[in-house]
Amino acid sequence: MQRRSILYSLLGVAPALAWQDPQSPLPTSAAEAVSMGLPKFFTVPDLEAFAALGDALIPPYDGRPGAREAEAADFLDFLLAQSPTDIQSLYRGGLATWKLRSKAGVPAALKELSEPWSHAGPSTPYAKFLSAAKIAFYQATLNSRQWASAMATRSRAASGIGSYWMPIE
Amino acid sequence: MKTKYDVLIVGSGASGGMAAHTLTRLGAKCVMLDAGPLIDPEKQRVLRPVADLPYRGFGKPGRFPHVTQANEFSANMWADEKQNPYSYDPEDPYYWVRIRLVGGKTLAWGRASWRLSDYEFKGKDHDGYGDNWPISYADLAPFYDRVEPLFRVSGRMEGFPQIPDGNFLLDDSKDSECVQRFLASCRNAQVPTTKQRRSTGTLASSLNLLLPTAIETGNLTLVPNAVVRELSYDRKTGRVTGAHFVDRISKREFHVEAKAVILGASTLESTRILLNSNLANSSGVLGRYLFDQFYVKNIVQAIVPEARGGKAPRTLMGGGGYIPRFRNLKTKEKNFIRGYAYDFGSGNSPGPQYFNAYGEELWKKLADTQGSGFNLTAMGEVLPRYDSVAHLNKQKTDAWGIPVLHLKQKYTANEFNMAKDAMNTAEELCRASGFEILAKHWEMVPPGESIHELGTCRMGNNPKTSVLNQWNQTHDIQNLYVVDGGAFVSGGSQNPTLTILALTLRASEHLAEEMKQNKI
Ligand SMILES: Cc1cc2nc3c(=O)[nH]c(=O)nc-3n(C[C@H](O)[C@H](O)[C@H](O)COP(=O)(O)OP(=O)(O)OC[C@H]3O[C@@H](n4cnc5c(N)ncnc54)[C@H](O)[C@@H]3O)c2cc1C
Repeated sequence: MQRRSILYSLLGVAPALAWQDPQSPLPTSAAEAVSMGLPKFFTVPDLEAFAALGDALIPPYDGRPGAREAEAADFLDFLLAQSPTDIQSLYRGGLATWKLRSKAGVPAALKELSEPWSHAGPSTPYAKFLSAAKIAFYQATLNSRQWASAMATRSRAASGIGSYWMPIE
Repeated sequence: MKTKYDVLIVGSGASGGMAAHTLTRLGAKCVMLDAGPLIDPEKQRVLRPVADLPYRGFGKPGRFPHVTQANEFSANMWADEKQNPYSYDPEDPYYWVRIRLVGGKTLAWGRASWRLSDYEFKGKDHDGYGDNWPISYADLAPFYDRVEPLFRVSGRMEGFPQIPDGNFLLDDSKDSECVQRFLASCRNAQVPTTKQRRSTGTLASSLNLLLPTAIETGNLTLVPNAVVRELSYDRKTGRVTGAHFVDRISKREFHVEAKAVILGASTLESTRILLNSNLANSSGVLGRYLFDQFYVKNIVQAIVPEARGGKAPRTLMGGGGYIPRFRNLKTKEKNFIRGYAYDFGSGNSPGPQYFNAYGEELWKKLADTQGSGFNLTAMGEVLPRYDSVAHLNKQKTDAWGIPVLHLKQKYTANEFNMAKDAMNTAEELCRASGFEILAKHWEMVPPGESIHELGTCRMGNNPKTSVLNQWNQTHDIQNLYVVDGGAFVSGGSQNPTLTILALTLRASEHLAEEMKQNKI
């Protein structure tokens, strides 16, 4: 340490600056890391049904966290509360059907997801809801802090770091 | 008394930047107004984990209903849709994608840099549709030659007449094995292929490649945050005299004077300024012949079977290329005229939407196909039509009280038939390469979304059917030029910016010459 700081002063760089690591600012925690959001879109029981759907669609797998570990349902509830009304209706209607259909078991309730891919997407509102929810749970899981920390040791690409444009006046 | 400039340039993107670069070096005193602020893209961006963004990368819902390219990382870069509204008929949505910053859309462009050819400039001679440009490829070639080195365009010489070769940094990089297989299938099917042609460098923007040189001459005064409302005009002389503009932040109104005006505010914005000024429209075609290129994104998503299960040897996957137009060159298709091009790439991981599975089965499929994708996007020529039009919507104004545009453009049979052909051909080429087809479709994105909006202020020899002459100078007003994509008569399937740059260089030298001869 001593030798290094001498080196830096010989190079004309103040040690304080040389040791300042721009990658590690003051440690902070985002609210999501320490607390739960309050449900805003679904009621508490509906949010649990929605989380169960998330579990079925995106369960944990081979060391990857699933939708529940990633608190994806809570996050999507927050997003849905601000979403356009057509999306809100799709999710409200879809969740009501899921609650009924899942009584007969998950495979029966999700059989619409075995339709082959088409660009236009599925035709019935419930099938549309399921495909939308599948993608939303998947992305909310991959973009979560739980995913980033679980995957950090596996691959650098998995940590989801991007170049963020700061607000412009 | 404030300075009276030689030239007022509106816009600082590809076209405005090129005009400033050219004119200031020829000694003209220029003032440039841009609606956006001056930012340093390096300082404006920071590295952040997606999980730390308030919306986990999804972005605030409803903030950018028409900018599918926007995500939470880039959201602050795009022009705000609430401050900058526009309208369209609900059955024909138009996705208008804008950036209002000094440097314009060149801060974010994909840099694909292709020349047009006489298949575009003389398209009517070839198949009878539409109009020829008032210039030919030979007129523009010397200007392309000078623009390419400025933007450090890399590419490979091919001798294809539909995408003439240029002054490239030669790209002789090796292709991966899956790309080689695909290229062989193309050769068998007599479909031409080449490397991408792209502007290179960390940033390839007007902001770093054009504006600094212009400022160094001491002849450029740059005014950011200056939203141009309309041009001022002297009836006695029949000349424009400058522009009225509004400060973006304070909303204070100003006027700046110049001997000549160059509009480079981007295709639709320059037309909007002219419509709001009620100028340069003796032909009645200002705002008409709006077109773009249709995009069918991931028209085919295939899998390279040998890459499944993470088993790809290092040399198998990666890289891509370009297929230039090959339809209707020497032969004639039955149900469409003109043609399309493809971008293709390998090594992507197909997303969960492609798999009819959920839960553990979905995870297995995703893991199995990770990095094994091969996909193509088709980009097709859109026919310019009189009825595709931008006009003023006087009921609606932007955040500065300026009337906005109502946009009307839709794709028709020629484009749909072309898109279907593009899907079928892409599928055949992939199958012939031994790839599995995971998904195919021919649904194009809405007009505008390709970010290649063109026309509405087109060139022509006849002042009754065009707004600009062959020098991008308005037929009606000698000291007024429009240099952005508005001038295009047709657009082929090539990305337009290299042509915008070459046209602007040519037009700016013409203006400088006119000023030297005291014609302006
Ligand atoms: C994500 C993305 C990818 C792209 N990829 C490619 C590609 O690969 N190849 C290609 O050829 N093209 C591509 N493009 C398109 C390319 O960026 C544009 O063709 C090019 O920038 C157009 O130049 P321009 O000068 O006409 O407009 P712009 O670059 O948009 O500049 C216009 C400027 O005018 C200003 N302005 C607008 N209205 C006013 C007003 N009223 N008053 C004052 N100033 C005003 C704006 O603030 C802006 O700075 C891409 C664009 C984007 C966004």
